[in-house]
Amino acid sequence: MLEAIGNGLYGLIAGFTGLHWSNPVMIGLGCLLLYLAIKKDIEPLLLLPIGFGCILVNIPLAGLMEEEGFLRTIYDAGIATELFPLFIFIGIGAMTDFGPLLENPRIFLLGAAGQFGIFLTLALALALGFSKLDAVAIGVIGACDGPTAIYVSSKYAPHLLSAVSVAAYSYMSLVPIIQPPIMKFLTTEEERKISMGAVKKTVSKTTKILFPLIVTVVGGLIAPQGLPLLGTIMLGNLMRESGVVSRLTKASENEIANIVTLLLGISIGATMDGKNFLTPQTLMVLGLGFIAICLDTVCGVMFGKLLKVLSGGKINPLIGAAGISAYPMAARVAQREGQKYNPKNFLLMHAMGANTGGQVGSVMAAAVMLSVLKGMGII
Amino acid sequence: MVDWNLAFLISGAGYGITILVLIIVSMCIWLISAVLQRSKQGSKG
Repeated sequence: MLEAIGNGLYGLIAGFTGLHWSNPVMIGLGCLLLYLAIKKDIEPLLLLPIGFGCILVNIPLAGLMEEEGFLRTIYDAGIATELFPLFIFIGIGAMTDFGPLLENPRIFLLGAAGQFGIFLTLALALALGFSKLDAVAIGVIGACDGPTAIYVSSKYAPHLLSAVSVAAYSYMSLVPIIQPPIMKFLTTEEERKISMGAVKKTVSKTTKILFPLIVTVVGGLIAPQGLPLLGTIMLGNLMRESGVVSRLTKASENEIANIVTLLLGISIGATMDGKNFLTPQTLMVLGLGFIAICLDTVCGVMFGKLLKVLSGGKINPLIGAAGISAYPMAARVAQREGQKYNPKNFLLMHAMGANTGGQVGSVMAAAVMLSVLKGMGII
Repeated sequence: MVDWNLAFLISGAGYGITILVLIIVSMCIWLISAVLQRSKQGSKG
């Protein structure tokens, strides 16, 4: 009788005895993510479910990530199959107006320049001893694009998924802090004051409809490995610009995006098991991710300076920093920094053009990288 | 042992092709915009 009671009581404390030292640390980290989401309003749509998922998976004996655990089921359904990031991409395409980019297609080049960090970080990761596929997943943090990073790492380096996605989303939310010092360091006051005038609105609806088709066909033919990424973002945009499927467009940018964001966030959190997450490798991933985003900004601004020279001083190099995928945050940073030095300067729409170029550029860069690696027989 | 040749090949080739693809796409868009605008002006004239 007493033994049965003892065993029953032991069952109640089994969770405590099953704790590994890393579990309380990770529960603390989960709480920190919740704090950042709730109190600091930093990417709350993702950090809240990620933080809670992190807490859930670090409570021992619940088996949430074991076979038939509910988090494992969600993970297998949407992350292992790479479906969640692709659904998110349809929503992003449906939300994005490529108009400012189409008004000035040369700004597209800023979106290419802003991807430099991906490739240099890939080389750095290889130099630090990461395997080729791990290095690809780490480099993609430089795309500054959460779904792309998740798609690539879940496909080629699933063991790095949690570190890569936490790094990608954290640095995306830190863009307003990371970029301004670099922008200031690389530009003169005269350059920051350059006024670019208003964006003309001459792009026809036909051009806007043709844009997603051209990007899909040209990009898909050159880099077929990335077609799922390109195709989904462009499908969302085609639905938006065609104007004939407003119900689908609204569902993509609202209901579908919201549900998938919740499931995606909780699944990523569920990969943050202490024993796997608290490793020197994770710290290296976070460090390399930071370098990648700094390099993106450096290269974007330097390319902006080149365009300034080529255009006879008509382009403000600050918009170069917006050539990354953090939309519309990076464009707002360029606008804010420009107005600090010239209150009458409205760079926002130009920076939006560069920013949407960065979105396409980051997807294209990931697609190209995968196809190049496929061509070399590495993947 | 780091294979620097491979590292630079992957990065260089990847970045170069990315820029090339975006240049091709932007030129396609520019061309189509120009053709559409010209045909619009032509039909007005």
